[in-house]
Amino acid sequence: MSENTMTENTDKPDETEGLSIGRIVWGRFVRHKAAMVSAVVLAFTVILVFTSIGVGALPGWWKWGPNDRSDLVNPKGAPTMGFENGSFQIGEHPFGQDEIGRDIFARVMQGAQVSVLVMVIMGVVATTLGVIIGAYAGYYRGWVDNVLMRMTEVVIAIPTLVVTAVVGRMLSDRTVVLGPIEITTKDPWVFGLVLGLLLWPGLARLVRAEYLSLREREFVDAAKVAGAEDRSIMFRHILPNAMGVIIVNATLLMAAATILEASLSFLGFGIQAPNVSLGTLISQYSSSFQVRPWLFWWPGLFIITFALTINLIGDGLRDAFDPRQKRIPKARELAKRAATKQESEVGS
Amino acid sequence: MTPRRDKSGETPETTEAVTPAVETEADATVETVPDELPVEGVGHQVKPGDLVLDVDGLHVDFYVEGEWVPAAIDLKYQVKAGEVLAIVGESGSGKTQSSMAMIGLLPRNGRHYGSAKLNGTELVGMSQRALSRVRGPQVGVIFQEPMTAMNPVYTVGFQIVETLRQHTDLGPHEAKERAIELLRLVEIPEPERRFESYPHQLSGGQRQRAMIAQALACDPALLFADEPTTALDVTVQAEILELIRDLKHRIHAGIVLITHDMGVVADMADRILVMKDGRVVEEGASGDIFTNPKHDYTKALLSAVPHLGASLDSKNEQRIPEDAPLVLEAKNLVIEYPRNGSTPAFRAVHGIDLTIRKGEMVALVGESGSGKTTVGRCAVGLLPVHDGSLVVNDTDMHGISRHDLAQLRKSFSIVFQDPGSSLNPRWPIGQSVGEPLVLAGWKKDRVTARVNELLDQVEIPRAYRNRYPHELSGGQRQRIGIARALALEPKLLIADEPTSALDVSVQARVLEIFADLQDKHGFGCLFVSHDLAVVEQLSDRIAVMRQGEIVEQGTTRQIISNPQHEYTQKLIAAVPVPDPFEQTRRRESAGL
Repeated sequence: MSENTMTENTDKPDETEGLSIGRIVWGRFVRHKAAMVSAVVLAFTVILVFTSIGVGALPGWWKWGPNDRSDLVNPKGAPTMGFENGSFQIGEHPFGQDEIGRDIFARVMQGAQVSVLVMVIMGVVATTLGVIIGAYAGYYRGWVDNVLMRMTEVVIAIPTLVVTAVVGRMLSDRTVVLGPIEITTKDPWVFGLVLGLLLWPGLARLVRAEYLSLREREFVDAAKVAGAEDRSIMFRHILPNAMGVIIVNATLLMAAATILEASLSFLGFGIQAPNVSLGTLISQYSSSFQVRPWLFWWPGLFIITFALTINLIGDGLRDAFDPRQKRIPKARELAKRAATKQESEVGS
Repeated sequence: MTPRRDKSGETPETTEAVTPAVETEADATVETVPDELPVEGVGHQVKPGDLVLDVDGLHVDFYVEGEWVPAAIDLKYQVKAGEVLAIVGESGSGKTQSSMAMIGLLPRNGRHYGSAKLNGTELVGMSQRALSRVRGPQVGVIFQEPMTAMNPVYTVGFQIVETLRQHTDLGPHEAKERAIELLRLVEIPEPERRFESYPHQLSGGQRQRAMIAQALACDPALLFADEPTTALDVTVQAEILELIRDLKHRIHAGIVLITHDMGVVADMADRILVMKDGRVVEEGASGDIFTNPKHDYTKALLSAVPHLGASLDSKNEQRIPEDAPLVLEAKNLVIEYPRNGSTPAFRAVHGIDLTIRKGEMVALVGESGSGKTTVGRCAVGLLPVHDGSLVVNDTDMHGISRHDLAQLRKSFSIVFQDPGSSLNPRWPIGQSVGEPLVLAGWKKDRVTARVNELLDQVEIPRAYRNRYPHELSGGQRQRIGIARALALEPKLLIADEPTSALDVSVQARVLEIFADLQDKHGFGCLFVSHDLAVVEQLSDRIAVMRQGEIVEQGTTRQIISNPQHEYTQKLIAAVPVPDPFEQTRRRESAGL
């Protein structure tokens, strides 16, 4: 039923036409400057990351692969990008080379691909699980709540590091065949899935708390009297009201996942060679920080870009979902306004 | 040791005039009521007649969406000690914000300028640090909702003691003694025991009394009472007003009573200030304003207050034919809130009988906690029937299956008390109104057409349908609530205090629309309310409920003009009348 309210009515400017929540939220999101800039930056970065070296069998437009070696162009493999003879040069290896001559640009692109994949899969899995489990626990209370929350506590009690370490060891280099699908357990998305399955409880608890208080509001009773079913009340009526909490936490979780993946890879439990992620890049080169700092700049820059843009987009979404959100002017702006107002009054 | 003690000797009339009222109201529970504040406060000592507050050219503005919107413009008034100044106006007229501005409690996007002198000290432009020494010892505030204005995790006593020790050098024991005396002053029974109570353990009226005690703790020279009775039942409201009226003579403070209800003002105020859109439109002595209002707005405010007994003559007792089919029939209906964890089951309704015929408007009247709302919620299937029978539109709700209830829901509907909470804050109002239609499986274009039709009926512009509830005023929101309830042309409508969250002037408009719609659509209606004056305008029959039982039932004329049960009589006597002389007469005849 929500489907037909979400689509249609695109070409009618009639004010009395009902707009769906989706359209109104989108309209507000588009007006959020920081979020829109972030969305464009993120989209551009993702396109760059996936087209440059290609995905899987598809070739990219960059001449080097992540594991191709070549002679060092600059001493120590310093970046060739920069100003030379007064003009901007990209050169052979814009991000530089490592000690054995591999192209850092290609390696960062591959690392970023893996990190994005882990982050997105982990974010989607953890958010979906967290929202559904939290919603059922908070809405039904009673024994449903008890069962779900005890389950949540069990998962919280499991140390993420230990599980990923054990699972990583158990699954390393094994291929599982499920009918037509062949899963290599070393694939980054398996890692993302494992992280997602471990990290949902925090969100589930927050969502549950939101639902516990929201279910007592009168609009829920109003929906019941109108004949709405439980599932419709949970996900159509209450969910938009819990969106702020969910989005803020999902974006924080995704940003944290990038860092968690880096630390797990550093310990050797995360992404395994020959795959690289932004985290493994940093850990691999950790010993040469003094000599070849560019080995850190670029992976670090991409980690920051992802974390920052996702958080800013999350902010924009939260504001767009909250119709009450208003910008309160800063004290200085207020003072300025007040001064001009009084002046004009004195003048008149 | 203090000029205060001497003064009681100087003004024996006031003390005498008050004493009988104290004795009758205090009942047996309060042994002694001090005539004076027992311990001298730290507040500014003032004599009756002294100028306490002098407001001159006060402006308050709010920064909204890029511009300064004025909330109060060029206010000018004075308050003397021992005097009650009532500031009257609708919500949004700036009456509360102008008072809060003086004591530095404006929200961050507000600013104020002009002049407001408290005992000769300029308050405008004072630092927050200095203001915090003004709030408490010099200015006390009684807020509208004591449940939210008091901290729920501290005892009432603790909060009063805290105020005292913040501003005086009293030791813990003296402060406690003084706090208990204050609780006694506001006529809370068993003050020693109540000292240890948490806010939620007190009744609404007692909480408000404790709030007043806290406001009076440091013996302020000025008291702001911001809608002190709006959140209370009529009978409790009458008691609290009585208390404030009585305190007026004992504390020598100037009182600023902020309210939207002319009925409340009638026998409280010495002078009245009427505000509209931030400006003072009329000012004068209480009697003059009531007998001879000059401004149109004042007249409109006065006429908006429902007069008890005014619409009895126009009642047509034969409006509903005797043989009209029943839309609701309760027989020995018992409703229980089921056991929840360690909380035992609570029986809210003890076997009541009630019938509503098609097209009939039946009012269920009682105070909060009487179970009237419970009956309404049970009738729309939000609570199960515990025992007895409740037949709604020919289907018994006792033990009804989910499926049958889902079917039945298309034939009844409910308007909730607080439109701010009953409309989904994240949904545009058009979608809220159309929701019952969408759930009933209507096609999109039919829903759109019907929503427009419903908005027309409740006189909301169609262009509003994409707005969110918080962008509408309270009255508009409640009209949206009514539109949603009428979406599927219900045969039975439950109206659960639909106007109690609204201003009196807005209430009149909403009631008018409601009555028109009822006339047009002919649904049977259970109108749950605590306000007899409102109920009288609309209903054909009235049932009075107390503590889960219906104590009296009859036609509107019978109940209003000739109430039999003592409780009904008490309810009727407590309804405020917007006429100071009539109000005084009634108070005296009621023996108060």
